[in-house]
Amino acid sequence: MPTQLLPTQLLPPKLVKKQLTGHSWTGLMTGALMYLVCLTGALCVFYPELQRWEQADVRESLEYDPALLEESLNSVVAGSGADLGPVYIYLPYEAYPRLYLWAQEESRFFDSDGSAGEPVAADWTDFLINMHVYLTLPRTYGMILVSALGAMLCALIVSGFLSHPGLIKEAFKLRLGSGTRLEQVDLHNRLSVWGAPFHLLIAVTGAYFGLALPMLAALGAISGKSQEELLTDVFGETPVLERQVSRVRLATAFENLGQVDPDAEPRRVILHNAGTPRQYIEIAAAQPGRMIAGENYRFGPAGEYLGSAGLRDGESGRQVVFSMFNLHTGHFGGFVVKLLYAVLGLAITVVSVTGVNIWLRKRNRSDAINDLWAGTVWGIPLALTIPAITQIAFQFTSVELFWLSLTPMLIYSARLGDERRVKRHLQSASIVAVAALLGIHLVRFGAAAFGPSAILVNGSLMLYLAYLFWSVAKPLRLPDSVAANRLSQRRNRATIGGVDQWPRGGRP
Amino acid sequence: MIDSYYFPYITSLACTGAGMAFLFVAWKSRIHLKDAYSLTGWVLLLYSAFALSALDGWVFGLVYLITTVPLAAFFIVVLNAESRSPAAAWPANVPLARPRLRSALGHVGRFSLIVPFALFTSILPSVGLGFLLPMSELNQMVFAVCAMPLIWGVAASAIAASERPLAPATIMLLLSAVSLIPIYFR
Repeated sequence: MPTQLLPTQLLPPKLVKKQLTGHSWTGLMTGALMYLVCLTGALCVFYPELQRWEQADVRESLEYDPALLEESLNSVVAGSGADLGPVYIYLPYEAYPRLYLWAQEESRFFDSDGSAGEPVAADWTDFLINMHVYLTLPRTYGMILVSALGAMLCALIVSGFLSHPGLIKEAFKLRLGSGTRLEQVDLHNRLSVWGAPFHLLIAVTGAYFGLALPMLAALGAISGKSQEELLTDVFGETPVLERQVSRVRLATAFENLGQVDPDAEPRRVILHNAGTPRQYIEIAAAQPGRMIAGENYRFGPAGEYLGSAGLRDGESGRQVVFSMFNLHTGHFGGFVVKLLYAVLGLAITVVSVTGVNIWLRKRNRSDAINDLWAGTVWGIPLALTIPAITQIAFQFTSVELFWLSLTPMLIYSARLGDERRVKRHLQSASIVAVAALLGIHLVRFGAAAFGPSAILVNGSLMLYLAYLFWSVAKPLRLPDSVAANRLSQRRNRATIGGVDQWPRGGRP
Repeated sequence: MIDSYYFPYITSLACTGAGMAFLFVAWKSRIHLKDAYSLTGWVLLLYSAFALSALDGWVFGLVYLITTVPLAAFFIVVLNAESRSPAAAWPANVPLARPRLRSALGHVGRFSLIVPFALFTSILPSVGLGFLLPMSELNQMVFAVCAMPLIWGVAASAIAASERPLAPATIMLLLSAVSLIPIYFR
């Protein structure tokens, strides 16, 4: 018998039974949304790579000239009215070696001479992020709902451990068999137990984003401070300037940044209150070897250093807040960390699916719920692929397209009445869709489809295609009643004339 | 030739792999050394995390531990997988049973307790707990924001598991009331 790695069986059986009921209930209530959020989250880890893939033919370089940026920034400010608002310049870095400027809701890449190039159009990636963060709902409600899923994931982790006292005893067990309950149980338990600390991290950091604002409102009511005061406590004071509007000296600001923090890696320039007497420059710079998303250095319009936001060396609470994004997305240790996050994110996705599968298998019957669940699991990846196809082919994507694709798939699944055929049909449709996506990408971008900006995504799509082929190629087992009918028909045909004509090897 | 800069990282990775292998051997083992194997495994895993923490800080060490250890475990689980022939029984579809009104209302009630009720009643305990900690006001606020989903999650799992969900709900209400004390006297 396998031994225990840690002492277990400390829990009374009654508690275990109750927790198992609660675990199933919470899992079933959240299963479909959890699957959607986890799947899109695992894909969103690579959002810079996906953005590059969508516009694979854009020139890439890690080099840039601050003097040219200064020219471009000043020309944008000079050519706009007083209500320009903030202007952002996104600087190139390893994962996204492209430079673009954002002003008045419009983003454009920079050409090598500093002039504005083609517009930034990564609509499918934006849609994917929208799905993960807001579930395509209005932002406030969507974010709170997704955060609630984070809290429910915490609940599932707690009840999961309390309801499975044999988890450690079966720590390395995996009994594979086509779709059997044991297989689902083993997959669910192995992935969830070993991944639990990571899943908890993702749940808490994910819940943080949506719950921070309602919590701030509650804290404001408790402490008597306004929301602005609380935000200032967390994010620090912003400079208040009142100077004559003049040319913005961005190159000087870069020079001064090199002296203030030589190790900083500038990622973003923001010209706040552009074109007004209150304008000032903020350079957000990544901090190598630190978990925080970066430090913000502030400069006056003439490029003189005003101070930093104090994120790097400020209070630990502020550092925690500014580490949340990196901790949740894995954007802090290069490509390898992102890969680890994506794999573990897919593991949570599989846990969501297998959890519902276990419940379905346990029922010992099959009905429309089985078909709809199979339609959801295999329909969502297909429904995500369709807007990607329209984006690459026609530069068009929309939230409605996703939901309008998924709805008929679910109706079809319910009408088909056999979950394995639902899976087979949707996987076959996915093969067509993914192959079309790869083909269209190749036709549109040519050699760039195999270039550094697209090979990761296209390579992953090819792997997914290979998996789908492998899955579809497996023989399909029919439901018992259908199999029995077919067997009886074949037997009748085969025994006409009293001659048993079963092929050698015996009857199935 | 590998740069010497990477040696500590490679050593840590090797320790993670070896630690997980020891845990697996301990799990498989029937002999009296199983506890020693298990202990060695955990020590190696902790050493790899501490080594990474010493190199890059404790946050990276912790993240390293919670990302590479599961992957090493998954790898061994896959290697240890046994393939079984599919079960013969696969039920044919039957019409969907109509849900009973009483049962549906019960689910709606439980959902209301788990989502909106547990959300609101976990705010005060998180803030109250934060105010009890000897930290600056900013750190207390951040603690409350981070602790809130955990408290909500624990409350949700208690309500979901209980045959009488009003009992844990009442405890949450009481906790909220008690939390007013540190909030009032902060």
